[in-house]
Amino acid sequence: MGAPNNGNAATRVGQVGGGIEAVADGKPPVVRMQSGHGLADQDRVRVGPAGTNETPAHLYYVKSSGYSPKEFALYTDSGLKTPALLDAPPGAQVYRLAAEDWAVVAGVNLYLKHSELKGAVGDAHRFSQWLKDVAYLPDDQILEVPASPSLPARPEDIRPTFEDGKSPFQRLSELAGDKDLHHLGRRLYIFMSGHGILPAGGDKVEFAESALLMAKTNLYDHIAGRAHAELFRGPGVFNEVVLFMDCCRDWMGGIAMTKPMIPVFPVDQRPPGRKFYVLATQLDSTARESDKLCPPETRGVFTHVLLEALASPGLCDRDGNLTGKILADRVKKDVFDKTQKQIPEPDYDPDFVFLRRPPPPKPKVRVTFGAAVHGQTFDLRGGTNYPDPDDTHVAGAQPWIAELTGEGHIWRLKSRETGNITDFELDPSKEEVDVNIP
Amino acid sequence: MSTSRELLKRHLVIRTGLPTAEILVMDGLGVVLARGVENLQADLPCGFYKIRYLAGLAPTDEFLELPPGEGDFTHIAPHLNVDVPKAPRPLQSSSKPQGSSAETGELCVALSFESASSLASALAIRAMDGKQVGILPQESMNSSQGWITLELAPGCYLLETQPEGTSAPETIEQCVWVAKGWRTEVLVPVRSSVPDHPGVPDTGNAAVFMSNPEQPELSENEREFNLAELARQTLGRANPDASLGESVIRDMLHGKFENPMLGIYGAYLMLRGRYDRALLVEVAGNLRRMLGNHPDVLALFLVLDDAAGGPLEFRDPPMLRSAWNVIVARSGVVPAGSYARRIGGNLRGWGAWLQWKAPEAEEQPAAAETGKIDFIKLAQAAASRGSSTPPDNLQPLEKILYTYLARSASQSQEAVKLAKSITASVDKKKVLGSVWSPVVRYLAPSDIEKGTLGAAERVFQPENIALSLGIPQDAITDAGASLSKKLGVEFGWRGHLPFKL
Repeated sequence: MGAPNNGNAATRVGQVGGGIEAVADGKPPVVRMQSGHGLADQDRVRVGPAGTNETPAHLYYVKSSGYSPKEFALYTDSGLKTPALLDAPPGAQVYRLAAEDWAVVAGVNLYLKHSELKGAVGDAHRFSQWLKDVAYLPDDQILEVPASPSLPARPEDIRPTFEDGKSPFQRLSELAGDKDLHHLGRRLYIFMSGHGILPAGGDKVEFAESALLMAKTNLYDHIAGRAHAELFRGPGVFNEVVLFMDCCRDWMGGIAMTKPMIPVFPVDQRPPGRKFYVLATQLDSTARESDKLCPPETRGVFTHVLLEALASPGLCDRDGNLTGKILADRVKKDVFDKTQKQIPEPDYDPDFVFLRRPPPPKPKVRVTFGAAVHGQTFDLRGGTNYPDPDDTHVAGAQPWIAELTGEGHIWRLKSRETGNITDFELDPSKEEVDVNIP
Repeated sequence: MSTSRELLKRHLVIRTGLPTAEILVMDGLGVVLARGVENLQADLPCGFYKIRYLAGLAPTDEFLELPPGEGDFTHIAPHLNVDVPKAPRPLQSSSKPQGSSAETGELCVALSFESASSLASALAIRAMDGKQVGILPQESMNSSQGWITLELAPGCYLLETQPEGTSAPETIEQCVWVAKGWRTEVLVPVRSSVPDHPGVPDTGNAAVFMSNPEQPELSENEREFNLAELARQTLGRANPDASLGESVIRDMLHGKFENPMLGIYGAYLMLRGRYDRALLVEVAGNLRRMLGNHPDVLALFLVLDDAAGGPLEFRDPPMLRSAWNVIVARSGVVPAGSYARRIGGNLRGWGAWLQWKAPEAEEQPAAAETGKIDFIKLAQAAASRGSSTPPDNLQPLEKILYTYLARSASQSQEAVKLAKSITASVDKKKVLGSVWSPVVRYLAPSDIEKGTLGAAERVFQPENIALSLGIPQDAITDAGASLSKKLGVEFGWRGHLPFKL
């Protein structure tokens, strides 16, 4: 699969230059790639894999002017004043990062006053990993809310505290305050999973809110996801704000929403950002986790479905755009199909593009036939030739593999002899779909 | 020869015959291409689609081919399960019960057992003075088809139940209105979170229907019952913009003479969009003539700012949450000592019906003295004590207000502090910024400081406090006055004093 672009048409992110050929030590070190890298001065790059808890990522700023198209120098600061130290073997990969994207990620399993969850921390970790590996966010621009891995000896030491929850947003505010027109970047991702509520103090309820409870908390100490997202979107601090809240939205009458403790930026200096918000469930409803999706691990159904959709190369329009509508509808449908109860609640700008992907290859169907239908002739319809058949096959013991052409995602097999029909849908996560006609 | 799909478009019509059914037409990616309620009409490229019907607790899916051809392609949906409480309608009384008079109305109440096999708690019906006038299931078991029928004086009555899942037992109430000469039918589903276990009456999802006992033939209409349920469910939807099509709403308003609930629902659905004032005047007038001073109807006159027909005063809460939203935003309409004044801090649930935890007898601060309450000053006093350490002698409503003010003040203070810090940091980068910034910013705050202060000030405006807490402004003023006394904050008008958060 080619490198996806995280929605930014102007700059492609991801792997560049085909791997390191050699590094000339010096101040700064100069990297020679196997092919042209296309990097520009002050681009942010990562050398090697994304960081983990044990091994931090190697992040740098690039100076390419004055070097050959296959070479660049590395610095530790955007002003290109402090030369970097680099110890990278030949063959190591270099990735151009989405330097204008930021994220706040929170996952909470353990609570002092609520039941323990099993999957929220893992879900947050997996989303962070997606941000690093696929959206190419710099590791240091993913602000993770710390969560206790186990109950501490002193219960009052449990994290995240309310301070932990609000501090990433306050940090983003400080960074934005320092920028021209308070414009901090292209896209802000907010991902939260854990116990959640809909603070419903009175009638001025923000019905589209979803708030994550902190570990050491009373119900007032919540982080209202949408309210925080809107404070960065409305004044155009970011061009786009993405919000995923994998939390219950229990209706909490008598609990007024705790407003974000961040400054209000002026709204008349820049156009508001565009939004893509998806809450895991409807108002006053439960967001579920399950140990059946990826046993033995427990995962939040919403996050599992979301990450599956993001990993499905075929989930896009014919130009390769994973639009907000395609992603939202898919997640809504799949979460409901898996739970029969939970229905995510999306809210997004109509022209929002979540990811740009290479146009997907043509999918195939693999049809196997039961002995009872051997000898019957089957027409396959739903593709380019619609309403005429795109392919025809006489059923036998061997599977029939047919390429599915055109834009359609629902296809019909019909026996000429009996008129029996079998409808099937494409699975965007797979290049081949299996159909059995008994 | 293949044909271009773009040229093969056709008008698709899907009919469900069910006003509560939502229809989605999706492609194979799950992308919704068309949407409708009860019926769907859309011009779509010919091909295969997935149709999802949402009507009831589980969806119904089917694949559909929209084949090329002339004219509309009409598809009739498969049988759908309807999510409305099910029970036979109450028998029409052949004669008025003993003691009835032309000045009374009927209240019929029944339980509809759905996911529960039996009842874990009872449903009581009380007059506003607390006197019990009926209880289910005990009384309904002795009546035919499970309905109890009460002949009552016109006015407001309380449905009272104890829902499951609350940590401490809570009594939840809501109002139902009985109008002279009308029968009000209330069908309450009994639901349990565990299938086939004892359930509790889910009054928040009760179906309410009104009919004229003298003209039973006009009310035995399943379509109107379903239409009323569709309206109730729509009014209970999270999205305050959720509404129904203009034609459906007009259909309801047309049906109000047979079932005035349709008129009430239709009026509040109409208010969710750009409404026709002349039509609302007509509907409100007709409903008032039919039902008297029904609080949900009076609230329509509040919307119209029309007190010509009598004082707009709300001693009793309305049935609909939408009506309550209209009432709490106004001052001087909820009298001191009234039941409506006492429920604000105790609202529960989120559906179409206004529900609340039964208020304690003493839950009411004394009426405020004349003069404005300085909520900012009050908030500062509360914040300096701390939200978790209120004075011991607060009444419930005062405590709610105290907590709200203390928390809002500390949140605002923190945001303002951060705004000042950002401003100072930006100023310092300018020539001699650290010298002039403290003086200049005291007189001319930065845009961030101004925005943050403005947002903080709005939090403490009485109408915003009322809306944030769901408590009528009059009750907020009373609680603010008594709280000011208890915290030693003097009355006064802030006027142009600088904001001190």
